[in-house]
Amino acid sequence: MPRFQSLPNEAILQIAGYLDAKDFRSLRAVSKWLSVATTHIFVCRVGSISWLVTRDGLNRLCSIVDQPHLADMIRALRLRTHELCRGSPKPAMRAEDYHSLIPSIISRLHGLEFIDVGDGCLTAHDIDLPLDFCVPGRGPMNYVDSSRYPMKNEMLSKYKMLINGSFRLYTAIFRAVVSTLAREGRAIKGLRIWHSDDKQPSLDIRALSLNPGVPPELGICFESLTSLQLGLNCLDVANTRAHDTPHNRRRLNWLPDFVNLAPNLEALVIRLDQPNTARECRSAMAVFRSLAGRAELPRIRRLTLVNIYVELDDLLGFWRRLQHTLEFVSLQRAVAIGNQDWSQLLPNLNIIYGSSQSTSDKSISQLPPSVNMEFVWLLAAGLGEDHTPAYYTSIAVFDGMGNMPCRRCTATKAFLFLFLCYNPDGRYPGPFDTPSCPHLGIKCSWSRGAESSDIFKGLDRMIVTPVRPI
Amino acid sequence: MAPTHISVKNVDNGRDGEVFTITYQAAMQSGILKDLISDFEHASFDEAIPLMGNISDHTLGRIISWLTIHSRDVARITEQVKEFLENPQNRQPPTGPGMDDDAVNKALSSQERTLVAEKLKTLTPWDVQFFEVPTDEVFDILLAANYLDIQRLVDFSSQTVANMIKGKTTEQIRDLFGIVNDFTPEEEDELRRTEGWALPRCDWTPEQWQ
Repeated sequence: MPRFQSLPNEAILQIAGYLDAKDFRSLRAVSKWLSVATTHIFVCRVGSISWLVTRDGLNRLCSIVDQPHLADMIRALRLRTHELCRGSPKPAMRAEDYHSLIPSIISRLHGLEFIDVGDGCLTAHDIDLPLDFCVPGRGPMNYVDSSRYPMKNEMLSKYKMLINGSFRLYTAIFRAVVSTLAREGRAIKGLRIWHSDDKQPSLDIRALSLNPGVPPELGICFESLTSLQLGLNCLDVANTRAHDTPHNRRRLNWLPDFVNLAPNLEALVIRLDQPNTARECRSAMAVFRSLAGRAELPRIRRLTLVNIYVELDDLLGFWRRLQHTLEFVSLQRAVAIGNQDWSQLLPNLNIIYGSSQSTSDKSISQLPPSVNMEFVWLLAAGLGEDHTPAYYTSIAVFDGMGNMPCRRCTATKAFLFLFLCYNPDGRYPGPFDTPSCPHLGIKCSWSRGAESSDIFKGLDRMIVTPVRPI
Repeated sequence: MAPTHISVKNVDNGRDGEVFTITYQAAMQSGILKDLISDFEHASFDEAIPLMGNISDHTLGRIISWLTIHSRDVARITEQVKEFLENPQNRQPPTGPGMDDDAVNKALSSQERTLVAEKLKTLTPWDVQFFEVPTDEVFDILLAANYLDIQRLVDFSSQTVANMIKGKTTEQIRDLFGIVNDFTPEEEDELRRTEGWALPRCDWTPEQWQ
């Protein structure tokens, strides 16, 4: 017998563990014995799968989930509506086909805990793209919107391709997934609908419409859902008195009502598509206000808000309401509208977290000892007429992590922040002079050795580029 | 009191083999030797401890040399990592003024543990040279390390075998290890059809959401 086959199973598993997917597949195909010996690793790797949603793709997935030893191991399913392979994009299947295949698949994946629905992503220079398919994104972004404009050949090497323009397709998948979960009462821990793999915030595309056809009045409840991530587009929401109709209100309230379906939610990520006009900014602001006012989130611990448009009072009110459970807050590319700007944030947080320390409230002991914060590019914008573009009036950059210690503490825990302000008149005030609270021990300092002049060098247009990838 | 040196008598297929001497510290890297030493705790350690693993003298000799070379690795690497972390710029997340001592110590000890564990898993040039032997001998070392419960050596041997496999086609792996293909063409086709899909795209886990 060859010596290799005399190795015990655990040694084979250990060896297979060092192989990447391609080599592992080659090893599994060597012999029946090796195929059996490595099944454990195989099913562990299968535990998180990414799937292209075409009719052929879903049919093949069906054949996989027919094998119970594999199906039971699958914990996470990532559904992608598009994939570009050499030559051309594979078409996604028609929306009505999802209704039969997706429920059938999900019902057989008994161990499924996480579902991620999105479109797809690839690097343009990896493939030969048909020229009429994809296009440069607006402004300086390194992305293209596949649905709208033709991409020129010379751009192919420079741009990354986000497959897009099919939001109706993954909205349909999302609807099919959620309906199935609701009908079967499945215990799902994480649900995500996203429009790219990259979490890059700068692409202007339509993600999930705020009316995805999963009305909260269905009465469904995702009790086990602890993590929810939604990429949302607010363009369908009107924000004027003239549009104050039941239909529009339903759209406006969809987000908080959907969030309220998951009473045990611990981590919530909301990413709104970046609006371009003042009207779209107002829509985004109305959506956040609705979220801040209606979402209950009794157990929320981690909150991440990306591309939100807010009045600071709405945000602070929301924060105040959730402060008893919040352990981490991340604001990324958050835009303040209105008279208050971000310089008011820390003083107000001082008040929120500092006010309890002088009270005799016994519930203090149940409060989390601290809240960690991450702020990346906080902006302020001015809005004009509905059809005009929004314009930024100031930028505050907080880079790094902050820690707001216990409201009772007398300790000297501190922020380690880079906190800058940019004014359109070109002056750089440098480190922001935040009022310090003796109880919180807040103080500002430079992090990562960055200088304001370095960061803002070349910022002659109000182009926003994160200090570090979000 | 723990002895400074241990004698181990190899018993290969019922026949008494060579007697090896190894330091106590080196021997403690092997789970089996550790157990045997504790079983012999009340003995005087004058006699060699018999090792019944059907390991050849040659292989056991190589393993003893490996154990001896690596006997002080944990202490040495921990010291190196501590020295590395003395520079605040090397700390992740960076620590700085304003963080309290508890937070700094917690972050440091966590990073220290991670770095030490990472370094212990890395093959050193000496190890690479150690495994520059015929394929069958690598398997012998892997089997013996598995029997002697020397996890690091099992890891290193497995890495070495995996490195032999990397970049090879199925057919080349068969040639390398002398394995006969017992799949029928239909079975091979079925394997490709049902398994060819998911693995290349398994680079995502829900944990990355957070």
